Amino acid sequence: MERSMTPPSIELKGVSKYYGNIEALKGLTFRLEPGERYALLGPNGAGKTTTLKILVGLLSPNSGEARIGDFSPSSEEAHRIVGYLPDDASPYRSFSVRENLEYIGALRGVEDVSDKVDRLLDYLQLREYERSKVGSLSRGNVQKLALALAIVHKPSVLLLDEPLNYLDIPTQENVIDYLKSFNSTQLVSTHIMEVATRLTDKVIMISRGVVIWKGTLVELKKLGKEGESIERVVARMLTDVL
Amino acid sequence: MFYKLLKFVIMSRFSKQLLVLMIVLFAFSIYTSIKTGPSGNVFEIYGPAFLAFFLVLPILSGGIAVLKSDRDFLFTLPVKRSDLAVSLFIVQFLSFGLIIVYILGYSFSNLKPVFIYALIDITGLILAMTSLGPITYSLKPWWRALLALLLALWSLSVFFGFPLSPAAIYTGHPIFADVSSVVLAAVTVPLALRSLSRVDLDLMKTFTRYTSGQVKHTRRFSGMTPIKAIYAENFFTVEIAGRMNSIGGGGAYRSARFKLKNGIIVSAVLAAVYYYLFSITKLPLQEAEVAIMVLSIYSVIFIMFFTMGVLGNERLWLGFMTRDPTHYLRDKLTAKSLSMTVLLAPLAVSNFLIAVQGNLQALNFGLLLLVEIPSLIVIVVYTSAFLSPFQIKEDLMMPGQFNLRQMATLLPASPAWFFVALSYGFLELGLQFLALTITVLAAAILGGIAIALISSKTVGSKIINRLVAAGFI
Ligand SMILES: Nc1ncnc2c1ncn2[C@@H]1O[C@H](COP(=O)(O)OP(=O)(O)OP(=O)(O)O)[C@@H](O)[C@H]1O
Ligand SMILES: [Mg+2]
Repeated sequence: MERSMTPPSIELKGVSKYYGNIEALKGLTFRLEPGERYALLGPNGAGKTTTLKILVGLLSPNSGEARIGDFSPSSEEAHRIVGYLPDDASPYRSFSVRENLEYIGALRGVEDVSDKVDRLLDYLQLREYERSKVGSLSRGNVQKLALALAIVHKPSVLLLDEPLNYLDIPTQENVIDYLKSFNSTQLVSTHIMEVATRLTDKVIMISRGVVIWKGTLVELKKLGKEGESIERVVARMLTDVL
Repeated sequence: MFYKLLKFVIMSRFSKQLLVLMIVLFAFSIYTSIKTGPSGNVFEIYGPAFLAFFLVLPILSGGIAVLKSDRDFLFTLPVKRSDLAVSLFIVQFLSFGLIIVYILGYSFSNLKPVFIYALIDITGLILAMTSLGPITYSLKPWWRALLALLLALWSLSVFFGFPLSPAAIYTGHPIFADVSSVVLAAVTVPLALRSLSRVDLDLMKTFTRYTSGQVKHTRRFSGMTPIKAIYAENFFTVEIAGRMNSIGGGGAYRSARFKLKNGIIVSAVLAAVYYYLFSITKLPLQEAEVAIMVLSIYSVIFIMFFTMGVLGNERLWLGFMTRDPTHYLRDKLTAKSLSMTVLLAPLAVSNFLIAVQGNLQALNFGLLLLVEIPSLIVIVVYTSAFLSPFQIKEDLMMPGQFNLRQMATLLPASPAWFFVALSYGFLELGLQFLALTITVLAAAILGGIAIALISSKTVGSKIINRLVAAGFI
């Protein structure tokens, strides 16, 4: 599979999404340039998860358009290059850790699946569980497996919903290093500012389905008073619009 | 306090509409069993066979009607253990014991001369059937299989002239039958109540054992093309998932997987037995109600067990993300459906052989197995996605309330029944050509619908949207 060196851009143009009568997204518009890493912040129910589901083509918007590079999110081309980790991700329960990874690897047409899986298992300290069924894993190990499943094909676009949840501190550090080394465009939904600042350098804030702020972390810090923590700044911005 | 608890336990497991329907069906089955006249000696053979089947069902598909939320809420309440056990027993009856009323109640038409005995017999059986789930859910598979086998043999033993069996009611030994079923109930009910009173503790233990564990032989997908991997998982491996409704059985969800080739061996053995019974010993395959019963068993079992896990065990963010999601759905369902065709082929062949010998009704069954059931699997999976999609995230628990919508997902199976009954009617009237035409047409129509559904991209993406909206991950 030929893959271009520069990762694609991510774009939403005036996207609205209804669940029944609830309008979860109201003309959401933003763009990530190739290789940019953004944190997606917002209060509970703001529409972060919905946004990510639209970007992976699992939901189609009621109006507006989403793009992964030149492709529609539901296209074969987009699926090939996107890695998606949902919140509360659960892998196939009937499979062991290794079977999950090999199955998804094979479905994705990854070459030398077995070797790649070995490397991921070692990297995420999952080796001792490779034969364990998903049901018997601790929550944190399920999350590690889920992460591995999201990146087994070396995606050039990463859409991650609370990726570091449940992970122990050494694994968090491993994963942060690993994701930062990825040559990819990344959008990471999180509630933990620490995660945002460690993984990304830019922020999109949404509330009630619209973008309320977009900029770099440095700019965000500047909005606060002397000595004010970044969490306080964000909390103030999010409650102001509520 | 007890009534409050009971009401809560029932209402949290069954929707109101479903309870109403169950009562209606209950009344209807009692009404028909009183109204229907005797129907030859059919039940001498089928009565014990059905009884065996319905004693085995709660053990194999079995389990207990315990919800995921019970663990965090109900079991932590300060209620009397005995109240809890009795409430759960009643729920267990609603989700399991009622089935015997629906189905065996029918055989009462033949049992009118021994009505009081039959009533005692069936009451004992209902209690025993209700108890089997709670008693056996925590046992190891081997023990469950052994118990199921013993009970089945006990039922079938009447064929060899053994009178001391609950099934002896059908073979002219009502008193022996009553003694057997009362003893069976007296043994099983206390055990079930004991098990239900400590269900929270046992469940955790069972759960740990069920999910823990490592695979012995890791399945390798390395080096497979994507389509090969899909077929390895969905064609060469068969998954059955049991979580049935009150009409069909028990509460908790369980799944088992086996290799297609092992399944074929089993179905070939069954096919040989089937051929022996209906061709060589000439059992009355043609009796109308028997035909319909055989059919209902086929459809309920095959379709329910084989469709439950198809979407419930899927993961949208995994399989569906690896290619165009509608293509994944298409390839997966094609593989499943073909797998079912191959699995049922030996039984279909038996039927075709019987048909060639002049029993045209068997042609109906043959096509049903070979074409209609594999097609219905697709159709039922699609309807259930629209009506009551649920994703399985935990084993051994009910994922949610039972409701009418879940039952409605099996409605697509009803045209198949209708066609078979229609074709049968024409056969009776001697209109062989018409009967044949209907049989073939029914297969063609259902097959056509399944193919149309599978190949439509629009339907596929609607389904996926529906699953996402229903909270599938
Ligand atoms: N399947 C669904 N059916 C109906 N409404 C939904 C569904 N999923 C989300 N919503 C609604 O859409 C809105 C946005 O939800 P979403 O899950 O995208 O928020 P979120 O920003 O991810 O929140 P959180 O921080 O709590 O994860 C909420 O009002 C939510 O209630
Ligand atoms: Mg969310």
